[in-house]
Amino acid sequence: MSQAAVDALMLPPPLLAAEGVRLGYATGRRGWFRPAPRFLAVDGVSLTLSRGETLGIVGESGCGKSSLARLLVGLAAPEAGVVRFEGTAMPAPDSAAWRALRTRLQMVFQDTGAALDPRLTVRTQVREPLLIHRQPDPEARCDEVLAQVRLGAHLWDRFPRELSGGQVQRVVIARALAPRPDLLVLDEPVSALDVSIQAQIVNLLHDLQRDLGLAYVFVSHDLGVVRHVAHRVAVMYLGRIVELAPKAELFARPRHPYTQALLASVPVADPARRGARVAIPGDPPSPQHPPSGCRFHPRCPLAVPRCAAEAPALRALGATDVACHRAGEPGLPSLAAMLSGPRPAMAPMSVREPA
Amino acid sequence: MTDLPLAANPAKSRTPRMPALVMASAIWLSLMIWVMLAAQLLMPWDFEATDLLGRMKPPFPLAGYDPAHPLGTDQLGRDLLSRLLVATQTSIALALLGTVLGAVLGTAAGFLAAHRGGWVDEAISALIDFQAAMPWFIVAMAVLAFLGNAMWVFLLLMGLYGWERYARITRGLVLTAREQGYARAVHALGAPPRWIYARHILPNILGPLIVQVTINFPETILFETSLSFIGLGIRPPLTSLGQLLGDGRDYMINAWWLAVMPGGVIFLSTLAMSMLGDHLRNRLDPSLED
Amino acid sequence: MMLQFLAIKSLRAALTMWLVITFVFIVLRISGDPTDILLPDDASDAVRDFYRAKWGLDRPLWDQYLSYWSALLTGDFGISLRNNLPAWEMVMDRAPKTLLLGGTALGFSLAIGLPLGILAAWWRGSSLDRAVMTTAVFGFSMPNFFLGILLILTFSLHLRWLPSSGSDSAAHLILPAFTLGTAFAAQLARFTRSAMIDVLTKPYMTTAKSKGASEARRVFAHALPNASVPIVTILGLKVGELIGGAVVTETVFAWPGLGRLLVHAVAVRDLAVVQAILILIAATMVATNLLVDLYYGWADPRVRVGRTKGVRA
Repeated sequence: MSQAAVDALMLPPPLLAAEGVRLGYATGRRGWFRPAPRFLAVDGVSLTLSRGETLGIVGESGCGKSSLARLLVGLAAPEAGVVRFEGTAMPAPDSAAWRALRTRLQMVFQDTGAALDPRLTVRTQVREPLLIHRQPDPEARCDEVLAQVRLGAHLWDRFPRELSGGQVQRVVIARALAPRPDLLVLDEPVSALDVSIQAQIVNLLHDLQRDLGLAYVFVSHDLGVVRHVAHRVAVMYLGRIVELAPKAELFARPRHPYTQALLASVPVADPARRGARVAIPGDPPSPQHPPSGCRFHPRCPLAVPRCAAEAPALRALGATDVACHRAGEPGLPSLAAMLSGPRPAMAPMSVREPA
Repeated sequence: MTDLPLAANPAKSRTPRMPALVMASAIWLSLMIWVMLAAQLLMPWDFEATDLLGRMKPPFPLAGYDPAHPLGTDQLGRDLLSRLLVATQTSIALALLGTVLGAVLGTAAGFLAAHRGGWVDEAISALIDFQAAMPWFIVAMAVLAFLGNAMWVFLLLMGLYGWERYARITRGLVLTAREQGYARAVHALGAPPRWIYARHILPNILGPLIVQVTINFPETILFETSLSFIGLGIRPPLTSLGQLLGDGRDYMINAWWLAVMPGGVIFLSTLAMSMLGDHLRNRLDPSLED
Repeated sequence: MMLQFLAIKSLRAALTMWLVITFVFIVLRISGDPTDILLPDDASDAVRDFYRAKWGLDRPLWDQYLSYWSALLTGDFGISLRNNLPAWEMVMDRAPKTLLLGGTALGFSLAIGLPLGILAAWWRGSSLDRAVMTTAVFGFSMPNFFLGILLILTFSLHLRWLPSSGSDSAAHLILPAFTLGTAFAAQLARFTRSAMIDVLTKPYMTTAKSKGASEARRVFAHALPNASVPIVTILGLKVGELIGGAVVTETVFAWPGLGRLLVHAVAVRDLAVVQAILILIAATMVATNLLVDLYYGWADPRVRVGRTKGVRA
C-alpha cells in the first residue's frame, strides 16, 4: 500500500463529496414506441467540500448548476455516481434517514420571495424545522437564530409580505440555520436583491461562517458575488465542470477558455473600460443536444480537431483542475486578447440570468 | 420576486362592504341555523298532533285564522309552523351533512390523486369524469329503487353529490401549490408530506374550497328537497321541506299556503346562500366566476 | 392528430358506458334474484325458467355478465312488472314527450340566457348588468317544483289561462317548459356573461377595436366564437341537470314523459324500467359529451392541429 493511500485512509472524509454524479430530466412525453426525450443536466461531476469552506459554483443559465445544488443537498438522487456526506452515501430522498439528515444539510432556494408561506408569521416559519425534527426548546432557538441573522425583533411576528427582499432573505437563512446544520447550499441567494442589500447578505453569510464554522455551496451566475464569498470556485458549462480552482488562482490565471470569456464579460463599473467587454461567438448550444467531445468546442476559438472528438477530463495544472485539451500549452494566446478589438456583430455573452 | 398567492391572501385587506341583500341573506341563514339547532324549543305544538276539527286553517292575516296556529294548519289539522320548523331542521341538517361529507370526500380524493399520481390519479380522474357525466339525480333515483329507500342510502347519495367538483379543484390546486416555493422549501426542511399538506397546502387552497361549499350547499338543499318532493327521500313520519311541499301540492285549491310556505323557505334559503356565496367569492377570489 | 383526439374521446365515452352498465349489473346482482326483480310477481314458472336459462343464472358470473351485455345489445331490458310489456318499448313510448319538453325548455333558455348574458357582459357594470345578474341568482335559486306550483296557482287556478296538467295541446307545454327552462336560462346567462367578459378583456379585442371594427362585428365575429367553446362545454355538462329537472317538472305538471315513468317505476320498484331509463339517459349524456368534444375539435385550432395538452372536457 502506498503512503498516499495510507494517508487517504487516515484522513477524515471531507464534509461533502460528489463522485461522478449525473442527473437527467425527461424533456417531453413518452411516445408509444419511443422513450421520452432526455437531457443530462449534470453529467459526471466530482468535487469535495471541507468543513467551514465555501465552494462557489458559477455558470450560465441552464448549465446545470441548480441541478447540481439539488444533488449536493440530497433533494435529488443521482442516476449515476454518489454524493457522500461525512463519508456516508446520501440516503434516498424522502426516506427516514434522509429526513433526519435535513438537520445537517440545509438549502436556501432561488426566488426567496416564494420560499415563505404567505399565511404564516416569520417566527412560525423559523420555528418550523425545529418542530418537524422535534428539537428541544424551539422558542428559544428560534429567537436565537433570528438574532443571529440580525433581523430586528419588531419584525419577528410580521408576515412575509410586510418584509423587504433583504429581510425575507434573512428569515430564509434563519430558518435554514435553526436546526444547526453543518452545510448550507445557497442557490442564487442574492441575485434577486439590490446590490447594496446583496453586500449586506454576503457579509452576514461571511460572519455566520466565521462564528458557526458553516460550510457553503454558493451557486451563482454572478462572478462578482462569488469572488466575494468563495474559497474555491467551480465553473460549469453544459452539465460539466470545466475548471475548479482556488479563488485567487481562478481570477488571476483562468485556464479554461470559457472561464476566460466569463471573466472578460463581467460588467465593469469603470467607465474608462466600458466597451471592452468581449463576446464569445455563437449561442450556447441547447442542453438537449450537447456537442460532441469538449462541449465548448463549437464556440471556442482555440478548438482543434481533437476537441470535437474527445471529451477532456479534469486534470491538475498547478493549483487548478481544468478540463481542456489545450490548457497549459506554452505560448497559447489568452482568449480575451483574441476576442477584444473590433469584430463583426456578435451577441455579447450574457452571464445575467433572465429575469 | 414572483409572489402568486393561490387563494385567500390576507394581504388584500379590502374595505368590508356588505350590500343590504347580502346582509339580509346572512340574517336569514343564521335564523335557519337556529331553527336547525333548536326547532324543538321553538315549536308551539307537537308537529304530529292532529286536530280533525281544525283542519286547513289559513295563516295569520287571512280571514278565519286561528291565533293558536299563526301559519295555519294542514289537512289533518297539524300546526303548520311546528311542521315547518321540524322540516327546516331536517332539510338544513341533511344539506349541511351532505355538503360536509361531499367536501371531505372530494377534498380527500383530490389530495390522494395529486399525492399518489400514476394509476391512482388516473382512476380517481376517471371516477370524476364519470360522476360529472351522469346526472346524479337520476342515478340517485335508480339506486333508491334498487337498494330500497333506507336512510343510510339516502345520506350516502347526498354525500356523494358534488364530491367530484371538490376533487377536481383540490387536485388541480394541490398540484400547483406543491410546486410553490414555500412547499418545496418545507419539503427540503425534512417535513413529511402529511406536514406539508396539513400545514401549508390545505390552508392555502381553502379559499376556493369554501367558495365551492357555498355553491354546493344550495344545490344539496335542492337535491334533497327534490327527491323528497317526488316521494323518494325523507318520508313520513319524518318530514322535510320537500316532503311538506309535495304533500301540500294536493291541497292547492283549498289551502295554497301548505305548498307555498315550505317552498318559500326552500327558495329563501338557497337564495340567501347563493347571495352570500357570490359575495364571498368576489372577495376571496375574483377569478373564480361560475 | 384530429383522429387521435377523436379516438381518445370515443374511448372515454365507451369507458363511461361500460362503467354505467357494469354498475347496473352489480347493483342488480346485489339486490337479489334477477327473476324476482326484472319479471312481474305473477310471471309463470315457464317464463321464469325461460329467463333463468336466457340469463344463465346457473352459470358463472362472468358468463352472466356477457349474457347481460348481449341482452342489452339486442334491446332486451326485461319486462315491466306493471303491465307485462317489454321495458324498452314502454321507455321508447314515453321518450318523445320528454324530448319535446326538454327541447322546448332548452330552446327557451338559450333564447333568454344567451342574449342577456352577452348584453350584461358588453355593458359590464351597468344597471342592466346588475339587474340581469340579480335576476339570475333568483332564477337558479328557485326550486323548479316550487316555481311550477306558483305558476299553477297563478295561471291555472287563479287566472284560469293555462292548463295545469297533461300534454294534449301546445298550451299544455307552456308552463312546464317555462318551469324547466328558467333555472337553466339563469345559469346560462351567468355563464355566458363570464365567458364573454373573459374574451372581451383579451388583447385581440382591443386590437379589433383599434382597427375600427364595429361593435356588432366585435361581438359576433370576434368575441362570441371564442366564448362559445366554454359555453358549449357547460351546456353539455348541464344537460344532466336538465334531465333531472325534467323528472321533477313532469311530476308537477303530470306530463306523461320519461320522468314520470321513472318516478312511478322507482316507487313500485319496477326495476326493468328503471334500468332501461338509466341506461338510455347515460347513453344520452355520453353522446352529448361526445358532441361537445367534437365541437371542441372543430372550434379550437389547438385541437385541430393536435396540441391536445391542456384541453380537457
